[in-house]
Amino acid sequence: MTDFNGWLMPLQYTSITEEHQRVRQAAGLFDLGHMGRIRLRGPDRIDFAQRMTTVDVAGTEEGGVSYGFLCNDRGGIIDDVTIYRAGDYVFLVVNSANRLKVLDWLNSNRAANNVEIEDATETLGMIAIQGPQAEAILQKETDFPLGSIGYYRFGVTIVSTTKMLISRTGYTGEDGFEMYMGSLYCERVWEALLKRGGQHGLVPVGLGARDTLRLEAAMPLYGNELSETITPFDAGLRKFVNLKKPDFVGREALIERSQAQHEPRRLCCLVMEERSIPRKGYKVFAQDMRIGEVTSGTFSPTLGQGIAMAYLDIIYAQKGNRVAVEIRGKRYPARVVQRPFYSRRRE
Amino acid sequence: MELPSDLRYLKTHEWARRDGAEVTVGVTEYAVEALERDIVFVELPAVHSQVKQGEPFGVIEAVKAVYDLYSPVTGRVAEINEALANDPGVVGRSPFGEGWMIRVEMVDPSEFDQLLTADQYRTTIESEEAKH
Repeated sequence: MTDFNGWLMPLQYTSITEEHQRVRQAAGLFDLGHMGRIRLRGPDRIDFAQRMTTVDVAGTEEGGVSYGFLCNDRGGIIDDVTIYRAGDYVFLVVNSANRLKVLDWLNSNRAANNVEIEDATETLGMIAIQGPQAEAILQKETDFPLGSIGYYRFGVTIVSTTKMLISRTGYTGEDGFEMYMGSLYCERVWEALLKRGGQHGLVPVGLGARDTLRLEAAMPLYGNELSETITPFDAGLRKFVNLKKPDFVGREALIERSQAQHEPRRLCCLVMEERSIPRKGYKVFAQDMRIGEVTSGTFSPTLGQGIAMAYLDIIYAQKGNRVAVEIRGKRYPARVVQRPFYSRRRE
Repeated sequence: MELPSDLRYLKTHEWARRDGAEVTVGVTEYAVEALERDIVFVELPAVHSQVKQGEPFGVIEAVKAVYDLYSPVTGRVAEINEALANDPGVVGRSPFGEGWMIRVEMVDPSEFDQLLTADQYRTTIESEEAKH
């Protein structure tokens, strides 16, 4: 167990590599209680969410989920979030490390909006089930036709005798669901799913594999690929910024940024050519010149190679380009590849 | 945990087995348990390079972290376990056997006698555990 922003979380239950492979081949169960869960209520909740995020919340149907950002007025990322448009509330799921920062930010930007900002992190729990068997396992625990919940959509229904909000979303690159329920009921849902899913290969999965899975799917992590000095455009996440909607915090800066002739650098995916493992902070070189730095790195269980994400000077950021990563004083060859490293087979 | 009594140990969890003038080096089951069998890479020195007692000769990498490997004796690397390049996991499966790492030609055989015995090493592990 490891302390994670004040939450005691398991890094792994058995082995990071085994848990990772299980999610890709069958299914894994994740306890995500540490993430921040915020509810916006009141007559101005939509206007407020519209003003504070890069997502067109007003244009999203009820039952829809969006991924986007809270930006500062320079377009820098305060947090990356998933936003759920429910009936009489908007639900935000934020990174564990940023929860208090986001609450402060929302509260200090409330202005004249008639909106209630509720920190529901302690009253709600969050569990995810991810993998090719996720839907089959979960379907045995509910009468609700899970096939009717499309990608980035959610429903509110009863699963394992517990009322919950369930969305087809995740952070692994596999099909799966994220579930939110009263925190008193989490343990019962967890036990029921493990019992039901055991014969399908379901295992509990810790934060270690959560990181290797998301990295293979080239999904960014706040604190690594994203920060307050990085805009969504730098990170290659332009499509999660809606510049057409009316004013929101950071809009002007982002418009300017989107019109810039040259991006100075780009977030790239690197694969190591020899058996070597890149890690956060390691320097990247091309022809003896320092061209960037690794933001996240690991040994990919699926590819059997070292993989990394790194911001590289734009000239070197082309797919197929050869670079070198400095590991403990020695430089190892790597190649820029198209993201993501791994994509699941879709039927 | 089984600790072969014919081996000597370092408190940094390496073991040494003496074969005449040569010493075979690996890491103990205790070290491997701490890495939770997620060993993905082992970096070894080149054959003929020099190693020194108490100084790092290589690195073992798990998914989450990198750890230095310390040499129990001073001398020349006579042989390295090439199998680890393609299958570092063997260190986890057989830390005292097929997971051996390097063989060193000792310059000073008395260094071997300075190493911890199995009982002494067991005591250091137990006091480390007591701290947690």
